[in-house]
Amino acid sequence: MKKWKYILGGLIVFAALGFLLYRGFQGSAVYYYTLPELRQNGTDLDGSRIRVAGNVGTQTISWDARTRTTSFTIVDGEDHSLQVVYVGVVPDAFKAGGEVVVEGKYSISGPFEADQLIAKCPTRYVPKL
Amino acid sequence: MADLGYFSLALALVVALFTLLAALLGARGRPELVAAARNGTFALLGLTSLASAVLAYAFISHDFSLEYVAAYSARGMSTFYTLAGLWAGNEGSLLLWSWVLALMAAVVLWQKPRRDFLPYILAVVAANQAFFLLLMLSVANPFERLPFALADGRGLNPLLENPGMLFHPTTLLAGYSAFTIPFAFAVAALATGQLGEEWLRPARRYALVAWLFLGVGNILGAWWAYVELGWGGYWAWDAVENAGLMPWLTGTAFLHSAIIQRRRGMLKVWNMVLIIVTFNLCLFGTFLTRSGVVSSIHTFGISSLGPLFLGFIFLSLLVPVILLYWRLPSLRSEDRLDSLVSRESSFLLNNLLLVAIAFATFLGTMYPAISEAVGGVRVTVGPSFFNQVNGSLFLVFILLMGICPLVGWRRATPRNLLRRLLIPATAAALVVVLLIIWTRTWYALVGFGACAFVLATILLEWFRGVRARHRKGENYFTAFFRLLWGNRPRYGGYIVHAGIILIALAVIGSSFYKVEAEDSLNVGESFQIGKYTLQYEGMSTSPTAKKEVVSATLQVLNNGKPAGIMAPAKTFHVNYDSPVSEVAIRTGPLEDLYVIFLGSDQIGGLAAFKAYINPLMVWMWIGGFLFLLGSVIAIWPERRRAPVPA
Repeated sequence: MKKWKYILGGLIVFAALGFLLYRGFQGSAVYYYTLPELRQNGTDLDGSRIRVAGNVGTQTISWDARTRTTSFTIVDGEDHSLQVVYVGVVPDAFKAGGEVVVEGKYSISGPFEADQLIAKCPTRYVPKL
Repeated sequence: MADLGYFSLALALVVALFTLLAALLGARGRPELVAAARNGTFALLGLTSLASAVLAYAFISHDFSLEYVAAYSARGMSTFYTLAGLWAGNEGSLLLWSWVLALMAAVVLWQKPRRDFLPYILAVVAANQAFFLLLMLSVANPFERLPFALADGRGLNPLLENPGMLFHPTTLLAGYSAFTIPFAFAVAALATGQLGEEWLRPARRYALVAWLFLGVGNILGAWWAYVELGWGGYWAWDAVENAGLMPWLTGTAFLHSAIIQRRRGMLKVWNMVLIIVTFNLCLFGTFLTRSGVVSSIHTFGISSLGPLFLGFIFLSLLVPVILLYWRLPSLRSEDRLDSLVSRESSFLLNNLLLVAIAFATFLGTMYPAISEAVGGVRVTVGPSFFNQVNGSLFLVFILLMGICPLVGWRRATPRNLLRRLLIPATAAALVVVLLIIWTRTWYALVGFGACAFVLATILLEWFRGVRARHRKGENYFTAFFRLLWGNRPRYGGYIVHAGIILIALAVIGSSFYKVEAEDSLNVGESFQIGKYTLQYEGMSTSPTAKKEVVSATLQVLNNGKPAGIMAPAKTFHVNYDSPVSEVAIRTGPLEDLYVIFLGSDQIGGLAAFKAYINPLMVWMWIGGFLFLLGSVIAIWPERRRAPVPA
């Protein structure tokens, strides 16, 4: 058995994997920011697709039954906040005060248009006080 | 009472350290020390069982002076979900891990492994036990007391009150934990230099058990995520899901390449590497699941578990790799690949694919952390990355699943192979031609064709075996069962393959042919999805002391003919501020109709719904059942020496 056949086969497999990873990556890589970082780079990011994490501001969630749109504000510990609108199914774990990750289009002038909303899987929960 | 629990953990740590020391010293030819290590291992089972029993009792008796009990249970919960608190949080999960490992170690002792392996196996188990006990005694103590007893606990998150909560975390954790045993055999083999059949046979058996648990845990997780809203369908490629998938993939690779080593004495180093990697992925998975590092943006540093876990993983990689390097000269293959077209080659390729899928999954999961460490920016990749990369790899993998069993060992003649491929290939071609009539998604067509191909090869193999026995005078029915029972590993394996294929069918169907529709309706209005019409009939609420269920009634019309009622609902719990959705699912052999009640406006006039048609979903659960069935058949103990699995 000639070794070179195997080396060649292995190389083909690796090249294919590399190509797949590269393509998959091009299609879905997104920058991920916290609110303070967003404030620093805000102007450069206008109109681009990003992912933002933070907490849902208390008393900021509103839902419109006609348009099935959820609007809320993401806040962090300091005084940063970001308006978000999201159309789609809201996961059960989503709640005021909870951690949330949104992905979508960021614009300086208007609210963040999210098309993905991930609420942290709640292994713990804090009851209403 | 709770102090008894803490005390038994503390004592267990002492015993674990003693066992580790005794085993290592005893390995140098001092049987009395090995015997002491044996007793220490049994004592660990006693002590961890005692601690678990104490914690269970604390839950049942609502001892809210314990922080852990107060955090995960409350009065008025059913006994089942009260006990689910045992693994709802970090502290309990670690204890469960420790207990499962103690149990598995006792099983190993009962099975009497080779005398020269024994001390090393016990040492590896004891080292793991010491680590988990140390975690529980320092940063994650399940018996931590509150300054004063609370009147009531917080209870379990209502989202988790689902039968899935009883089986999914437990099976997954048991799988993670049980992979310690084959890893311990590998370390023992490296330490003693007995690098052949001696370690591989038992390691593969125990790996099969651990792998079964992991597989079932993953399938149950998918099912739970499908019926409970909030985790985004049956598989969202989130970090915790991936954590359970990766060791399962590398474990699958190990199970297959172990066969090659047993038949041909090849791939010895590769097998070692696979089991070491699998075990470490299990540790890593536990860490990802239990530390919450990934879902939060602040990577590594959020929980006190982080550094300890990473340190232990580093050790678990370092020690076996050093041993492996030291043993490299004696791990030479006894044989070489004779031909590119042979079963060995196809197995090797299937192995490479599995590892590639695991690697891509790892890369995608860890990308935010990696990019932050390397470039100072966080970059994430979404589900589309995983779907593209892993979808393509899985497709090739499935094709190979059909081809592998057809190719002979050593050197298959292409002519012979082509002859055997004829019927399955024809079946696949037929399926593709039939499907082309109504679908042009080439990717899905190739996928369905590949699935048809594999199913045909399995059925054919089975049919040939039965026919051969039938000719010897057995009736078909007896022939079928004797064939299966006579070579359990092999035919169990085929059943597992069939299960995986059914799961693949469901994945392809639901990924490429999903239909969505959403609408907001007043009573009496309706909306269309595919051939279904959903008519909103009204809303009803049923309040109880602890919760209020708001359910919407929808009349379903299938092609205009009434086909029953669906009632998706939302449950509002008194002490929990976001509602829990109850989706309504109509399951059929070809498709599920899946309806979510999104909510209604304040006045209660307008109600919003989202509906999906998920094709072929039911086959995922049937496939999962076959996976379980086939694995159990394959594991079923042999009376005498086993026939070598093919």
